[in-house]
Amino acid sequence: MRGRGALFLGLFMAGCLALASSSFLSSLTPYVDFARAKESDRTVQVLGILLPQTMEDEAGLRFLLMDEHGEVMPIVYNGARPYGFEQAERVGAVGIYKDGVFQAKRLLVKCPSKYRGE
Amino acid sequence: MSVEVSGGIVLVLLAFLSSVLAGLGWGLAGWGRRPTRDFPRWAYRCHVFFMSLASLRLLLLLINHRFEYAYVYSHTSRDLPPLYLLSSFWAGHEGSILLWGLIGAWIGLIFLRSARPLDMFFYNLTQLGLTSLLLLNNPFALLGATPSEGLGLNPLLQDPWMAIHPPVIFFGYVGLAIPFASSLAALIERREKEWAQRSLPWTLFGWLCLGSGMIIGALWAYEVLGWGGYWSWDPVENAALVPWLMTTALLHGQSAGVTRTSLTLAISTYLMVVLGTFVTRSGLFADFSVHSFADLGLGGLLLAKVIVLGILAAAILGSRWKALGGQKASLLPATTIAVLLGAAFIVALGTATPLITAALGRPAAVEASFYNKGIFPLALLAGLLMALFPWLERRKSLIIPGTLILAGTAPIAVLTRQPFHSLFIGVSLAALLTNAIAWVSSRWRSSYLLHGGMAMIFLGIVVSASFSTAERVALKTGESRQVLGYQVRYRGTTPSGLELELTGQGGSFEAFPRIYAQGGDVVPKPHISRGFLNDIYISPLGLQHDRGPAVRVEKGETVVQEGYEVTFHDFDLIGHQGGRVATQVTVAADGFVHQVVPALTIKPNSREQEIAYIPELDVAVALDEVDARGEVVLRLFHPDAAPQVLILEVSRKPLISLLWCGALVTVLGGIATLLQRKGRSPVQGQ
Repeated sequence: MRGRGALFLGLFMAGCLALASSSFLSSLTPYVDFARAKESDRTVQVLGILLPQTMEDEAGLRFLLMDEHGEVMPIVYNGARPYGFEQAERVGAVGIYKDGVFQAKRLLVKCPSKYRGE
Repeated sequence: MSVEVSGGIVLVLLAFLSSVLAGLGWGLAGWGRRPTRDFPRWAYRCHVFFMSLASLRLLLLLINHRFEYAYVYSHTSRDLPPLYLLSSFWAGHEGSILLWGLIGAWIGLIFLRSARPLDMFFYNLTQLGLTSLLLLNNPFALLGATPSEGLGLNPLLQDPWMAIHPPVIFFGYVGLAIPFASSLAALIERREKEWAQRSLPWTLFGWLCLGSGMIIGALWAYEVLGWGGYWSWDPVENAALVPWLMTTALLHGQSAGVTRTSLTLAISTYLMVVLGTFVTRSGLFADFSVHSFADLGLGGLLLAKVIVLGILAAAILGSRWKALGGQKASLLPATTIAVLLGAAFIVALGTATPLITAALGRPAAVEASFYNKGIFPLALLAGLLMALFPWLERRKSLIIPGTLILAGTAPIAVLTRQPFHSLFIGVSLAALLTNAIAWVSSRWRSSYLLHGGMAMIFLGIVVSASFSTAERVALKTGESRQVLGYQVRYRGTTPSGLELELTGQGGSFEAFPRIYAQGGDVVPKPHISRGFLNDIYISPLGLQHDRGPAVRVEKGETVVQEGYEVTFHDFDLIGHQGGRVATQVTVAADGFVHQVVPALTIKPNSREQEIAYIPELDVAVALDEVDARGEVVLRLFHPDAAPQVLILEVSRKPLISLLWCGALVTVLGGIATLLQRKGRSPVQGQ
């Protein structure tokens, strides 16, 4: 029992590891600038300053970000406006650039130090 | 004032020094040079006294609005209700470390009663670490001025769940310090065999608190953040989940009497707690986490602490490694531990990916799907183990649980065509039933209650994740639309929130989600209509005034809009400064020409419109946009008549209530286990 059980457990864990490493590679989202994001056809993560033209409609939140090279990219996010969005120093977005828009699956809002004190 | 500068921090310094003395005393007593134990005990009691006094001091400063203190200024304001004035104690980094140290001091007082000198020597090291951290991150720092008002508490933290979340987590961390400390002491004194049983209640206590803390955090995210979920695989969340999974493995190791593995786990779990704290407070994850922790310059100290402790512990463990070998775990606990550690490894790997890849030169993060896919097979096996455990333990045939799994899986798989999720549901359902049966037939043995609760959590997670539905809708005031089988009517805004009426087959109910402005920010708060089978989650995404169409005009151009002749003459250069653009516009109607100057100020993160109003016409003119070619976008509207448009997301989350109920059952099971163990004799062996 012990020998066979250990073998089974070892095989199962190896299988899990193989599965995890394959999904690890496919779910890696590199941090890129906007120029690279526009070329890439996979999920990437971008970071930029929020430009003042945010609007909401049924498709979600639409806004513009500018990266450190001054490149601007329109973003649409199909979800609730995260807290601190307007005041954010920078906004990060994870998603894919498609049809001229960066379609964000997730937003990361970098809050200013308002509640932290400096 | 200069006396008060030192007031609080002197108490911390005294706590630190008494901890040093206590450590010296226990060190000497433990290594047998001095038999007396009274001296370190009294030194430790002084440590507890000074920690309590320092905490009381901070609390009084907060209550009395002493804004000359940086911590009070940064985290409170005069209008804060008493509960949140109390919770602002741990709203910031310095205060939360003080709270951790305070809880550690108190729990140490309880541990002291049964601990040996070396146990306390190592436990006291953690207190020493926390107090030295406090000396560097002084919660009593002065601003050098006395502002009349503070910055206030982050509105997201003004929630009862968020008020109790940090203390519960710290109780967990402190609880885990005890198996850590006593394992090192046991290794040195070669008392490893009795260690597992003696420290098991503390492991369970730490496990319960850490788990409850995470569930409270999840509840808060669900009720307050409005994105509809409760867990986002954020580094800060993962930093608690990894030690929790390791503690779960430790619990199984300790109760199965797998000594060497348990000792290793007890040590590495606490090191993981410290490492997690380091990682989340070092600013390393600033770009990867929604939690914003500034770089406090602590990274070095905490990392040094982990490395020193790690080397020390590894050396102590290594010295006994061979002597403890030769003992093999039976398959059930071995599998359980392997599954839990596998899950911990996956979460740790995903969390550390940005750091690892950044070190390799090409920073990348993993998506949430990595965690979900990676953990799924392990969770499935964990569910299977829980389903079979009550039967395997009594060497009964596996026909009943096997049938239960099939009976649970097959119909759901046929109905939903999601074979893997159905299998998970079937397994969890079987685990719930077998543990419930075993619980009753064993006359309420609490381990079945624990596992039954976990099975409920599994069910809640997988059902709500697999079968949630959401729909988005835009509603004008008074309008109603069909959403998810409900007729949703937006009645308007009231002081208590946005007023909605939802009418479904089972009758109608009112919902009051909120969107409120706070400090220049829009804070949405969802409304959750709870039910056992389904939660209806109503999240307001935005509230806008429908201002009618915008018109784009060039300089000198005239357009006709809603019967008015609108002319954009020129930019108003007098008012043109610091990102502010003003325009000279005339609106002509009924032979009268009205001149107005709508303006727009563009700041890096926001924009402000100065809307020009013409009382004679009851018309407002807003400047929406200015582009590089000198064209502007103007918008004419009647301010009172402009209807509000509410954008809502309504979702139905089936059986999410099982997650919270399951957590409650698990906690009750844990408490019952603690009480049952307390009733037994402490020397009872394996």
